[in-house]
Amino acid sequence: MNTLDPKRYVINNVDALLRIMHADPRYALEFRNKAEQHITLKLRKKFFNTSPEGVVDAFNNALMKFLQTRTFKDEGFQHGQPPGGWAAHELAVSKLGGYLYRGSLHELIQMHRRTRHEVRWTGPDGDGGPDDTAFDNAEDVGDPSPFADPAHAYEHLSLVKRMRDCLNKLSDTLRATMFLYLDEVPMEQIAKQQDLHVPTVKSRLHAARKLVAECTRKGMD
Amino acid sequence: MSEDRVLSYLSGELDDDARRAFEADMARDPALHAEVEEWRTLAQARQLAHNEIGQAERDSAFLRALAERPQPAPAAPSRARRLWQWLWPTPASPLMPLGWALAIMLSVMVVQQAPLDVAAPDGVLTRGGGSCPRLVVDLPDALTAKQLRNTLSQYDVSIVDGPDADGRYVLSAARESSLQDAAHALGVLSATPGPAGVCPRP
Repeated sequence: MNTLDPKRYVINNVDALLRIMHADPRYALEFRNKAEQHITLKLRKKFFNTSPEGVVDAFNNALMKFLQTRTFKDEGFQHGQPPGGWAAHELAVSKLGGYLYRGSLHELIQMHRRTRHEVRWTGPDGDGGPDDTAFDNAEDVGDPSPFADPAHAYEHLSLVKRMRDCLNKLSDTLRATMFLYLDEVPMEQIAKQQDLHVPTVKSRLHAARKLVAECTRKGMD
Repeated sequence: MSEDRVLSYLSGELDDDARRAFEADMARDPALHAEVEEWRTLAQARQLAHNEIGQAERDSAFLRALAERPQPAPAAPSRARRLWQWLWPTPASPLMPLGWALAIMLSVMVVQQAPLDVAAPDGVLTRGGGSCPRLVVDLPDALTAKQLRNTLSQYDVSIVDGPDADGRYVLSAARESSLQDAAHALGVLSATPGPAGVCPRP
């Protein structure tokens, strides 16, 4: 057997999944980390104007609720299960991943309702309608996004990782401004915090975006 | 100016009319759409960088929650298993084997000593599992019922059958001599030993 082959388990219900994860912590963490990465990036794509902490908290709240309630349907595990069983990373982007995504989305919406109005984005991943209706359709626990396509997901993840590296290469000044903006800090507050005018903040942000874009393109060529 | 609108749109600073107008422009202008998409990917890159912070703590919390999850109720033990647990509860006392050996030994002794009361097909109970001698007798006509009762009682003899077609009765007792003595006392006209049979109830 190829040692690089991922570990697989035949999983037909939540109890079996929890038993396996309890017995194999490595599998459990691989599942958690892949699900966290997949779902937080997907949420962040949908909700630009939110804090990274809020997104991570939303995912982890949904995951803990899943462990407590164990309400995921058995059919969700059986649908598309490879003959040898699920590898952890496959499970994270399967219907269970879709279920956790919807739970995380719900958590995030609740957080935002408590704080402020959010720009709703209706891209290819968008629902179009009110976000709450996503939870009315109990049958649909799948993942309808382009992330469900492994090749697309891999390509996109590579781009995001490259962009992350390029963000870290920015000068301290530009990186600080960029991170504040991406961390949901209002423009006026960034200006006040950095002792700048708002137009200067905007200029910095555009300069930073262009540098990152150029850096990313170089890395991808 | 267009770049400023992108930033204001993404941070939710545009009012409803301005937002709708921007979205209409974005639908018409692929470059504008691409710029917005690039900002969204930047937000994902920032998210990815943030996810690395505190990941070990979140992993530990997840493993702890897994360990603390309510365990599914164990399946009910089988009937045989429950019987075994009743006979041999765990943890067992070191004296348990001795106790059971003693109980078994006493049970065997009691069974061996106890009289065996088995209901015979004719409803007569036997005692001790043995058979009793029988005597077929022809009773004298002058014998009264009272004399018969007293004599049978005196010698511990019972009538177990009769009268047959010839008017003869079958007497039974634990001992042959009791039968002979009773027959003599009753003044029977004839006495013929019969096949031994189950003993009469006392």
